[in-house]
Amino acid sequence: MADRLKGYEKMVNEQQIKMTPVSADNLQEIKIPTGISDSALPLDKIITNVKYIPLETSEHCLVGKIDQLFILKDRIIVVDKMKAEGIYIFDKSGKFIRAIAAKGKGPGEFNTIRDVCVNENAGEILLFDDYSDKVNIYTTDGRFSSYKRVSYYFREFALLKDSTFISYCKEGINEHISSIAKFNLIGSENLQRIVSKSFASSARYIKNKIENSEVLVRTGETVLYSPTFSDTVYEVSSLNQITAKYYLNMGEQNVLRHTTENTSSKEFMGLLNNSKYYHYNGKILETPGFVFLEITNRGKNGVFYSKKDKRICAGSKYNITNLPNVRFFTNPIAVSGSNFISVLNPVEIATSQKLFRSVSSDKERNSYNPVFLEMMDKISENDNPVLMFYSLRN
Amino acid sequence: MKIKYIYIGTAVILLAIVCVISAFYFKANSADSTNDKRFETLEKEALTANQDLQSKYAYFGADKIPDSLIHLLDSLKINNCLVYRFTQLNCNTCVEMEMPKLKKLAKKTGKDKIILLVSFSSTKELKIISNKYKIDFQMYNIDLDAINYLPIEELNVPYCYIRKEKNIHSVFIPNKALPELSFAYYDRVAESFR
Repeated sequence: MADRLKGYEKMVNEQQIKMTPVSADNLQEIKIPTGISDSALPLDKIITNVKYIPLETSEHCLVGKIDQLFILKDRIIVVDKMKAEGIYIFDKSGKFIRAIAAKGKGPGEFNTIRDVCVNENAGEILLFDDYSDKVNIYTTDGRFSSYKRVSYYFREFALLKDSTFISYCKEGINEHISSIAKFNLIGSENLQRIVSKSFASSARYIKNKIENSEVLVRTGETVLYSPTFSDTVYEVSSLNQITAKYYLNMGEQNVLRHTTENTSSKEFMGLLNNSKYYHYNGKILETPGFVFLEITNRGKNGVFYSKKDKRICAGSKYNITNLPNVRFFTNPIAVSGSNFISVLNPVEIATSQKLFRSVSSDKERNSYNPVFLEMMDKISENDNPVLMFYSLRN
Repeated sequence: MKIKYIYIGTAVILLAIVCVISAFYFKANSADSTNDKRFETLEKEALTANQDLQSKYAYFGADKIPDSLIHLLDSLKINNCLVYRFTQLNCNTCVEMEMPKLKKLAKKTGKDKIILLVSFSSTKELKIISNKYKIDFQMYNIDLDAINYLPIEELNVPYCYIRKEKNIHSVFIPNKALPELSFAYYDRVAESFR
């Protein structure tokens, strides 16, 4: 793959690429309790201020799976990388505005969506098409404005507050630039001029070829970085400053304590199917008051951590009164201010409607939030997903 | 004397015609034989590349179409067509790789000669696929288990076959790693429809 970028190394002055120092001055410990995979989260007791936004469904905006979600002041930007292969722009009420979904080689067209990031201040959506070695730039109304060539490959990228970029690179994809080839985190000014590098690929990561589901997460003014095979989350404030922020203390249950560089992927997956071991898969979201983490152990477990009183609420499934195991509710995928946002799957909502009607008497139904009942009644299985905004109770 | 020249002239013209026809005939045969050789090589490559169950079905054979499928296909009133079968559970990339080739084939055969037989429980998902690949072939959505008595259905991979005189001919499983094999198959399909 890197062969296609041969020649671009001339754009990079390898002498100028500095190692970013990593400090651990304010490391906070989050202690993960045992037995979380056997617990259920009582949804109606832990969340409040719930708001549902059904995304408009029409011929031109059919969303298959939401891979990335950006909530801006007046826009909702939905990225479906694999199924519909497009970016869908809605207003804040869920009304469809425009789709970016034209595939090809022409202006504004793309071949693949590797990753998307949003520059809200500039009103720009950036789509990285690694098949075409370029980043397409669109307005937040979905109109194509320009594109830029990249000098190196990356899997994910995020914009820092000083308008520089931090990118996550997989081992082996940048062999055309020898000084960054073995580093996972690359900083650049414009996705061409590389200025920093950090986090050398770990041997066991290379060997096992296991990747975290998500590595870079934009949160407020900074970006959080979760290296694969790590129990530490780092904060990238600028290309000169990376700080270890959270240490996830999983004790003896931490699967990393029971693996070595020689552990194969198969053995690793075997350990994760054992209820004894936990693995942090890189999914983290942060609001001013809370942190959400995903811990893998025979499936995904949601962990909500209160920064104020340092308490944890965790479980593998969600319950609401009289409706155990609410399958349409999923772990949050984005934040907006103090709100978490989960994506509700319409097929699961339709299935739950039947269950809900069968287990609830009229009296019980009346005890539910009318907004919830209205959402349940409105949605059919062929609709687009519903976004659920909520905050956590203290 | 004049008649003698006419005879000689006619004989020369006839001989020339025979020569031209023979040349065309040998050329066509030799193209067929080149195609056959190319195809044999590709087929061997496919069979040696995949030692799994799939490769057994990549072999070109003929099979009797079950009655219920005959009814379904009869209702389409189309005989002699290529049927491309895929479901919601199949690998997206496999379908994505095949669509441009089917469109290319349609330019040679006419798009009415290609039928998509799909199984999607969600009409939304089917619409997404249809929009994404800009599908303009005839497409029929059947229950996932409607034709599960066909052994090839167990493989859970996209496949195609020629439907001719109530029989399934030339069953083929495209392999995304061997696009040449698909091209060779579709070349043959186009020839068989001429």
